[in-house]
Amino acid sequence: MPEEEAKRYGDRAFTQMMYAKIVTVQLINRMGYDVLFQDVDVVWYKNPLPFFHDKENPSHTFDILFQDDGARSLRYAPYSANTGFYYVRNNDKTKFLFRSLLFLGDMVLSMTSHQQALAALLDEHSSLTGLRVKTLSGNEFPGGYQ
Amino acid sequence: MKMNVAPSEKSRSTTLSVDEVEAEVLRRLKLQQKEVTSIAVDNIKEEEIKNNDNKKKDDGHDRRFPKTISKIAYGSALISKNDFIQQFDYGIPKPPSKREHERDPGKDDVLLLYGSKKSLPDVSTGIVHTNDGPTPDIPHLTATYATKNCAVMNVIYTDTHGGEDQCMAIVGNYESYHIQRWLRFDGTKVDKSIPLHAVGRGVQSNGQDKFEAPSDSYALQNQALLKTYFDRLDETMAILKPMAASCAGDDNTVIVMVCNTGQSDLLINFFCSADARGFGDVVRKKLLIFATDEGVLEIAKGLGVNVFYDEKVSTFSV
Repeated sequence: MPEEEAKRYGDRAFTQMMYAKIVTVQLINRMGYDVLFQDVDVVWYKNPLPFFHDKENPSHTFDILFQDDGARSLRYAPYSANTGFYYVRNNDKTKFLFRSLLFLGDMVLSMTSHQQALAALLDEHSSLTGLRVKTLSGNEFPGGYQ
Repeated sequence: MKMNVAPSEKSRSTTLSVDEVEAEVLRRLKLQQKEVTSIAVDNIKEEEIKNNDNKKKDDGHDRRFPKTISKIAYGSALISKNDFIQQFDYGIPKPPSKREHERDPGKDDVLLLYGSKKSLPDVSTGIVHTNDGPTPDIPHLTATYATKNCAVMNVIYTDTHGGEDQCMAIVGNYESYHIQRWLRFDGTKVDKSIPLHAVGRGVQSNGQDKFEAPSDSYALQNQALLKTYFDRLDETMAILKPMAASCAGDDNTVIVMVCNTGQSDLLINFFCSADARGFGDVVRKKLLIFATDEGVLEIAKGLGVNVFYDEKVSTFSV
């Protein structure tokens, strides 16, 4: 694994880190835990965990919740899910999703983007298994320069 | 003059004169014409039947849609998109510039097509017929009311990609939960003069494919990654389990970050920020850092946080 920071989107260091990000979430998910994954460049204004744990919150019915990437390009359609900050509830649907992503390494490598591969899987799994995917509001979970 | 022609049913391996060939061609052309005329007549008759059927009125009221599509579009209503999305939240975001209450010109309403009489709301004025209400317009209803009697609802999200000359076809058939994409694309270029071809959903209007199938070389690289994964799985799980259990605590949630030395400044910044805002203790209890090199392993230990590092895994390369 590279010790240096990725210099640009999609370079070798970026790609290796990207695969590590898939495996780590998959391992914790397979153990039966909910996972809040975040990149190191994220900071919290508030502790986000109560939001995800609140059973009265309408978002509680969703299996996986992402920060909004902001892009509306075809490759991230239809959720525009940002893999830099997301919450995964533990259940068979999310376990299947991350197992599928693990085995989809060739797609991740060819696209040099696990976000793009996951975006495609989210669409398939929501259709196939009824996985409930939610892109969080930019008001509550803002991304990019603030 | 004699010439060779493809053998017919009757005269295999015989040789025909030019006149005989011409006569045979004429005979076949006539036969074809007869068939074409017959098909055309059948089509006209079928159209007449359909048109007559479609002209039928229900108790003197004109149907909004013909009976030929009555199982797809028995009637229709419009619903405000904001209302619809709020009521039926599938998790898909609106355009980033559009907040929940804002308009989306040209896409402000949802077109609801009813597939049967049973699916109509209690008062169906204007939904099925164009002349049973005060105006012939499609009625505008709330999401809750319009869908009151829909036992099942299929929802299609689509976009016009900046005014692309796009059409939408809804085909009553064996069900598919995927939208087909057809483009005037011959595999290399998009050209309005060529017929529509079925393409993958990643093919854009400029012909660029965002979802090309990965090549064998990527498959081999993935094979190597998976081998490392499965070779190390038991040992990794044995180390990780107690760490993850400790982080999960009472709420069953583990916060995961992946970090290398090059990103350690950002990691330290995250801790400083969390401490300054008063939830540094939550972070230290719940966070499990996956260090990808020894440098960040030491830094994470110094921060007093749970950290996992496997030298054997960290040496794999893509």
